[in-house]
Amino acid sequence: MSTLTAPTTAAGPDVRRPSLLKAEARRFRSRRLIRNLFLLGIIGYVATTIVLFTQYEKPSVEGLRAAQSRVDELVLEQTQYHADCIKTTPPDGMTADDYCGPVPTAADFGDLSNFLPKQAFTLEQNLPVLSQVFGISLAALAFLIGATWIGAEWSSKNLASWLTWQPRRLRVMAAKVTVLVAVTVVAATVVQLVWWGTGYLLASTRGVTSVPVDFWGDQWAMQGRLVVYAVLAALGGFALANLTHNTGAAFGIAFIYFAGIETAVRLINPEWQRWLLSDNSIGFIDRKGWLIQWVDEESFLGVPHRIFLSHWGSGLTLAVAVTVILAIGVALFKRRDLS
Amino acid sequence: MGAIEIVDVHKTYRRRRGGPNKAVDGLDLVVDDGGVHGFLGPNGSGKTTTIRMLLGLVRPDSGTLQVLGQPVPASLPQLIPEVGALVETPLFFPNFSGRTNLRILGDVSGISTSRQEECLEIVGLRDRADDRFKSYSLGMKQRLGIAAALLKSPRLLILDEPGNGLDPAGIREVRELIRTLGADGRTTVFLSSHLLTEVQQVCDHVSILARGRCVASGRVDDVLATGASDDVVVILDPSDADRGLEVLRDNGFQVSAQPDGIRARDVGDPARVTRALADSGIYLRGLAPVVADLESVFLELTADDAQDPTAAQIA
Ligand SMILES: Nc1ncnc2c1ncn2[C@@H]1O[C@H](COP(=O)(O)OP(=O)(O)OP(=O)(O)O)[C@@H](O)[C@H]1O
Ligand SMILES: [Mg+2]
Repeated sequence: MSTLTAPTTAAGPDVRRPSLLKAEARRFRSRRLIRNLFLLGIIGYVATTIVLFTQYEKPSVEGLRAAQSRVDELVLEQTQYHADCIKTTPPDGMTADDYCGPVPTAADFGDLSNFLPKQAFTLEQNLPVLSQVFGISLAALAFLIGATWIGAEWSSKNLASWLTWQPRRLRVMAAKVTVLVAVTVVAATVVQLVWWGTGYLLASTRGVTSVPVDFWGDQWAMQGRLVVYAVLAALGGFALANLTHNTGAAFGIAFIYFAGIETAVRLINPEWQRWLLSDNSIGFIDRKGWLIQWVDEESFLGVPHRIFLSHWGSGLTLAVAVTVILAIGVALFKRRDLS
Repeated sequence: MGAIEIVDVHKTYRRRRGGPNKAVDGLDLVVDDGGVHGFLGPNGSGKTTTIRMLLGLVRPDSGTLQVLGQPVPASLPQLIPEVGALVETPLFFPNFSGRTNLRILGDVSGISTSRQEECLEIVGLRDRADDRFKSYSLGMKQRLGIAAALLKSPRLLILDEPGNGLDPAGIREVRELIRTLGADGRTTVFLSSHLLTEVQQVCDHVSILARGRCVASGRVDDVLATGASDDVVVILDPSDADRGLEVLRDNGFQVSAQPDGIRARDVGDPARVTRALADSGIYLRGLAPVVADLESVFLELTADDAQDPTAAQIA
């Protein structure tokens, strides 16, 4: 403080619009975790894309011909075997046809593509999987980001500090949640679009782009739900860490819940599975929803019990769970002494 | 209008173990506008708790608090642009640089970057502003805390032990800064401190806190005067010392031998001492009134504190 001068207090600070959101956005992008994850995400994307492009191949004329001749070969082999079999005497009480089976045809060997050295990337089969894998990965990351986003503040006791700048506690929380949700929506949407684009490129260069008529409706809806799912995961991580004041505890609770509690519930009363977060996650993310089935001694003639979890139903269950945890944490934060 | 007015505030912390803990117990406190007001008390006397209540971080159980004439915590959202604070150890994001930390606070309150840079300059942290907060020394952290508290150019500046961890030069600079601010006719500084000398040097007013209560408050000089005793130290020729002690005791004075002379308590008029000794043929060489300093007043006022009063000096 060798340069100590009388501060220009009388002039007062220059005026700019105060903005909690701006502050939180600055904090978000200044975080090392976020910067590292961003870099890792780009590296991961490039690597995965390269691998995918080398894995798939559009079926070439020669390739198809080779596959066809391999199938022909197999059919011939099996036909020969069948002919030999017919000549032998079948065991007692069996006809020759029962013993040797029907005459083999090419159809017995399934799709021709099974005999290609590399598969073709088909939009219909492969794109939904791609969307789901990366949507779920992003949701896991979003949980981590959500938990550390508030966990770091509790561990550095920084929340008290925010409040000496903005005493309205709900606003302080709302700003954090808003930035988290906004960033997650953007990140998840970008991921979905990027993989949609990559998948389309794969299909047109390394496979087939033809799809059934109702394909795109289901696909876009699912990708939209995956974005919502990432937001729910981010809020879930945030809510748990805010409730326990600790990032690690959020992960601990998530682990105990998924590894222990869910397993126990499935054993104790399978009917309660309809409330489990993992079943509802599948119900929400899957293209068609999720049919839970199980068999017990009450099952009539071995027909399994069935519960269907629809997109809306499971989405609502997930949203309610997250909202309740979040609301409890925020309500406690509003009332509690901070010291 | 007072900068701070606290009336009969109580705060008890409920702890998980060890039962309730009365941190503030019927506190009354008035801090007038302008100048530097010291807030002095031993460890655990409730200084930080009081400051937290003023800032809305901790809710009082009962009583009323006002800041700049408005009730808190109700009016804090309107007041907060006028109130700068450093509570105990400064809290910042450990992985962000000092500058980024100030930028974030600047965003929250709409304070320009030039003002942020100015505050870094004031606390002498500009060279290290891009280093991570967690790599700062204790004193540098404290300096950043002071910079953040100054950012808003507050009308009320609340500093909870700002000298913590600063080197002697730093302490002197902070004291000068506080004095300058207190003299600018606009800023009121509320300075909590353990350090009696600090309060004596920097503050015009002081309130002394013990066990969550205000035990003395007023101009520093006046508080010193309340603690000023009627004690005198009588200096005699060494050969007269023993007899002098006896004579004074016979005349009804409470006396004790001290290395520098005989201390007589509550003498009222010192002439009585002179006369008593002269009547017995003893002539004194000197008679000195015992001057109070803040330290003895402080120790006296907080002496029956349940906590160890010496702790206040150690910290
Ligand atoms: N969060 C808390 N929970 C429980 N008790 C607390 C809490 N904070 C403070 N206390 C207690 O309240 C009392 C007053 O503490 P406070 O921090 O206000 O004292 P202080 O005057 O600031 O002390 P110091 O000079 O050591 O900073 C102490 O007995 C302390 O143990
Ligand atoms: Mg304290």
